[in-house]
Amino acid sequence: MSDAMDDWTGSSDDLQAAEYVLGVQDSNARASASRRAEADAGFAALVAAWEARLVPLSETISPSEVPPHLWAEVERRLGWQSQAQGAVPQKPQSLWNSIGLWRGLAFGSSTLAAGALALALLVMPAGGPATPPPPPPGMPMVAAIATDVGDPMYMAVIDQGSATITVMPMKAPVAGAQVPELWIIGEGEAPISLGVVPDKGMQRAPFPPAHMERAHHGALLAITMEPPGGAPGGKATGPAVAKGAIQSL
Amino acid sequence: MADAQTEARDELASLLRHAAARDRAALREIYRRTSAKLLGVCLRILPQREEAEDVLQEVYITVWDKAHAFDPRLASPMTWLAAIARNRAIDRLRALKRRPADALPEGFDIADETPDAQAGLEQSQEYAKLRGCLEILEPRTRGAISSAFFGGHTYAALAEKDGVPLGTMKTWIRRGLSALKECVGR
Repeated sequence: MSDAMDDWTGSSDDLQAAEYVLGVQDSNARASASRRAEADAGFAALVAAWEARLVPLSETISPSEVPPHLWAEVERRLGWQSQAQGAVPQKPQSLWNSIGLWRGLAFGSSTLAAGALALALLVMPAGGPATPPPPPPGMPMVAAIATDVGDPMYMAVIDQGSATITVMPMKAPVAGAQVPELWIIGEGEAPISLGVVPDKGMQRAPFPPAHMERAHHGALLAITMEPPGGAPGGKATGPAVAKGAIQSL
Repeated sequence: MADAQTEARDELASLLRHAAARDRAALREIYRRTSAKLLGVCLRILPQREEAEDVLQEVYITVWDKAHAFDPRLASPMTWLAAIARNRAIDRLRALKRRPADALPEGFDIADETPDAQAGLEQSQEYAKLRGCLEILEPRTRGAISSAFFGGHTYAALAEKDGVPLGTMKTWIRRGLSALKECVGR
């Protein structure tokens, strides 16, 4: 304390603590007291004692209604995802980053939605064309391919811009003598083979250009189990063990 | 009342312990129970609602970071939380630089220390004791301490507001603080 302490009966530390808690210091003195309270346990105890003496005065202050959105903002600043209320879009300009969009899709399960998101995020930035396709015509399509009881088997992303299909096994069929083969089935059409797919590891392959027009919203992707090398003659030999509709974004 | 008050205090102390153990739900519950009150505390110092609401967010981030430092032997949980709110609000006020002393509401030094009727029901023994001690002070000293506390004003701003030299204001407040320490104890 630079000025006289004639009116103070205690130590200068105690005065500094009292003035800090009361809030009468200017910025510099306050900042220095604040730093000291962080670093010096003895001083921090003096501050705590003054808080116990003076801060109960706050009890006379009436509460004020808090706007409902503030908590979500606290969570965001803490780096917590607000799971319960839907995530805040990270980059509104990019559809890819809009979790809400993904959540809104009618997937069979949330696991599938999460898988589709993960896959799409993996696939798109790395493998896309040099210049990103304009969103409306070039938007990828996704499908969650699941068993009849809803267990996810594969996730697929079809990118018309680069004419590719990316397949990621979620819970692929048990490897045995047979291999999984992927089919696209338009309404009222015979299945068309898109080739054998791996039972583990992500695979990105060209989408047969002749069949690209069949890849539209609502068309089905299906998996059958076929002999090694794929279905002979392009005709499925077994039933579909999993299927899922293509969703456009 | 005393039992309900003790129970609420114990619960809040327990929630702070859980928050210290990184329990997010505990912080949310602390927020639910205390945010309206702490917003009131911030608004007293920062009348601009936008600033007060922003500071309120910082308060709960600080609570999350410092929950481990809460010691129920030193202060009640509400006092600890209100002290954080006050500190953040005063820091913001200083950062915003000047707040003209003449922008204070009329008669603030009286109105500010009048307990709200509703808040009165929840007052603790600590407050009752402090209030008794404040009443013993000279009115101008009491007024200076009260407006310092509620407004977060510097010595200089308070002196200007009351039209007294800076040294006089310091004398009043320091005498008042000395007397309060003696009266409140600890």
